[in-house]
Amino acid sequence: MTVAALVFGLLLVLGVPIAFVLLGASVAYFALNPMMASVVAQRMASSLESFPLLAVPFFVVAGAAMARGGIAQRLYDFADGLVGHWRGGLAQVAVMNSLFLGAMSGSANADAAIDARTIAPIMRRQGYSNGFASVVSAASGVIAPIMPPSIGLIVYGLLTDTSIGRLFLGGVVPAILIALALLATVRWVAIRRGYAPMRPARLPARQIAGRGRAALWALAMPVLLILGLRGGWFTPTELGAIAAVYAFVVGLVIYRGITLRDTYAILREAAHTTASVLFIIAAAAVFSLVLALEQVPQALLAGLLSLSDNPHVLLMLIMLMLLVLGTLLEGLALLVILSPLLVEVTRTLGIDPVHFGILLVFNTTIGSITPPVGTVLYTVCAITRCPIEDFTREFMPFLAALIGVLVLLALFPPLVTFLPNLLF
Amino acid sequence: MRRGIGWLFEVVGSAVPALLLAVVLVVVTANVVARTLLGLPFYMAHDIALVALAGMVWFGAVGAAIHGQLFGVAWFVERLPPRARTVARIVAHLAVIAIALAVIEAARAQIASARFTRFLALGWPKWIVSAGLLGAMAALILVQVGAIWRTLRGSDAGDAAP
Repeated sequence: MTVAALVFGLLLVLGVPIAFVLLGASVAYFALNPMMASVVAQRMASSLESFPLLAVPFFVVAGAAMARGGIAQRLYDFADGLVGHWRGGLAQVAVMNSLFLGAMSGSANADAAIDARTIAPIMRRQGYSNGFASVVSAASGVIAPIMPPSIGLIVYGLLTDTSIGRLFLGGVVPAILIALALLATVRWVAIRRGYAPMRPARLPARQIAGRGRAALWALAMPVLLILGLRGGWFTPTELGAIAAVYAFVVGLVIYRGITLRDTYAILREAAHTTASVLFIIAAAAVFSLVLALEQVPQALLAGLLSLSDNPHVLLMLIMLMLLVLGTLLEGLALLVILSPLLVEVTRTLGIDPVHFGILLVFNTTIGSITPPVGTVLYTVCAITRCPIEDFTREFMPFLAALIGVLVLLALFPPLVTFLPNLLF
Repeated sequence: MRRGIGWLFEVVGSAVPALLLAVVLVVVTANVVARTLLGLPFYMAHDIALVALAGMVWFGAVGAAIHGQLFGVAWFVERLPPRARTVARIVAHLAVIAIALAVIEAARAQIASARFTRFLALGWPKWIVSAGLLGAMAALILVQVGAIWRTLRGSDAGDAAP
């Protein structure tokens, strides 16, 4: 195990892709502890033999079709109408837009990349610092994996045998709380720095309603999603397929933002994004076997239970541990490796798996934007060409706000569980 | 020659996964429509979707590598002086090649030994998923070799991560 850990650290420092870091450590382990020669391929192949996983490419296709099909622009206009007159108007619009876009893409990376490409350059031109524009793009991306549909919640549900429908509903209130916390943080920074609103006064209600109507087909999607799930018409996976077709048809026929010729580009983009996510999951399935063979879950369970038997204390300790690990490891890999282990601990303590799932996905998503290691951080900084140091400096108030919401959700489980308990 | 290789990588890393994704999408949607509206589910949809998903992930990973979408931690390497950075990048590419070779060997062993397990509805042997993995890892090794070549010539623009 020591050699596997050393290989893991070395490959990570060398910048080897995360999936190959996990595979490399596993290969090193099996070289010293021989099992069947086929074990690596077998685990990778069997990890993808899961019907619920199909929801991931479907929601990615839906997000790509929405972004290209004119839906994203209409959502931006609606967000602008709602909060553009607030202090730091453009940054407020970025956060609000992420709440809407998150209801379609389900991926922090996708959402943050859209903001970094579209809103961040305009923010810079209007006098916002590049670091602030980058941080707003990245931090608002945190909403997407919590707001249904969420790739992270699908993966968690699959790994821990938790209802994906309940997880989706459990994410609605936390996503809104995160958005409110980010809007408040933007306002606080904007007042200190004198970032102006986009317009002096609120738009007339009729104009806002008009923009809302224009975005209605997009805004209707999450509602249809929840109704379809609750009505038992589709499984979450099939719902993903319907969402992808819905987004494509709306973009093609109603908004006319895409043509049939764009189909290949959308599928190609979605295939690459999905593969980069699911390849990590396949690699993590091999690494999880190493952890199981070394009885790491049992050691973790015993170690945590020896610290305290108070569920609140242990939950806080787990959250703290995840925040620290999140600064060093990629969020999705962390989620895949730790979900099955930690759910055993939390079930023993009587913590609702839906509540814990939202906390875990939220926590690992925060990890994906905290330096020095984070995929969302790298995605945004690569697009905006923002130095990590500038990003880190500007990120602090946003990190405090996100941790504040995390603690709130940990201490008050009904904020997560109320809605799924009401509707399921 | 270079255009021919580029075209081949586009087919393997982009066109094939895009096509497989389309297959997954069409098959699952058709099954939902057939079951919900006509009351006629077709059970092969499940197996076709899973085989196509695996193929899309394996070959999509090749495309993701070509376009720099396989994320790694660049932070440490970027802080090295230029010459050491180049060496570190080449070592990282070599590490990926070595790991991909190990995966190929495992896939070969899986193909050789898994003769009897089949997808229930389709009847196809399950080793085809490992065969796809083997093919994708071979293509990924070629991508890494190309990336090493570009790094040595000083023309690596950051694609073909690491």
